[in-house]
Amino acid sequence: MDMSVDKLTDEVTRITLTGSLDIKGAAAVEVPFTTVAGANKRIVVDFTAVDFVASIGLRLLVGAARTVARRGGKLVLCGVTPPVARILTVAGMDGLLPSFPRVDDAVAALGA
Amino acid sequence: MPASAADISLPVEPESVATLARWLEARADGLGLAGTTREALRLCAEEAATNIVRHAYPDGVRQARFLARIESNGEVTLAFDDDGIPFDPTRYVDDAQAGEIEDARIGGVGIRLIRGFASGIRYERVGTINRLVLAFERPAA
Repeated sequence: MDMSVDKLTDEVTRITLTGSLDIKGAAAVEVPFTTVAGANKRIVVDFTAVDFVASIGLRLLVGAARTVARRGGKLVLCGVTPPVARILTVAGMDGLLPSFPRVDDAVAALGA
Repeated sequence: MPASAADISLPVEPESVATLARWLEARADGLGLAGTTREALRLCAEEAATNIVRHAYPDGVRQARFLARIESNGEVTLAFDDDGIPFDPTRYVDDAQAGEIEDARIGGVGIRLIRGFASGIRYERVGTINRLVLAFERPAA
């Protein structure tokens, strides 16, 4: 799994993930992902190129979203593919990790 | 063993989860599995194997191995054998998820996913072995 980070606006940071967020992928991005989450308050995680997510990946996402929320911020997803969306729904995470079709919608939802 | 069965023995280590996924991809190709059945198989295999690797041997793995076996007889079944601590996922009580992210619980999500994506789950303790059998419906051609 690959990860890149860029600024969408002065206040919104995008984390782009590519690959599978499985046990191997989660281990590969855990440290940088958690670091970015700890240093920013408004985060869009771009899932356009994520083909699979397992519970260990959801653990990483929820942990980061919780960290951000406790500092008064918000983490949202964009570009989630239908197979990954089904996993989020069955896991009961769709209400905790808001998801938007396009990155512009996600930025708007963050109020930035 | 039925003609459409295959198995693999793997060491109890994180890398084995990825090895199992690659092995299952090839088996799924051979069985002609596609779409939601294939996705469910991949996800449930990942969750069951991760659970063994992370939780079945709290005192250390001591060169332990686990076995995965796929069979196809109308439906597809994926079975796991390990000799770790007894754990019956069919008896796991899944509390409701919190409504706010600040209160979200992270444990138990893997079992919730297996329950949601497998069409059947069976567990038995055979001597010192945990045997978990997951079933997947195979859409009619």
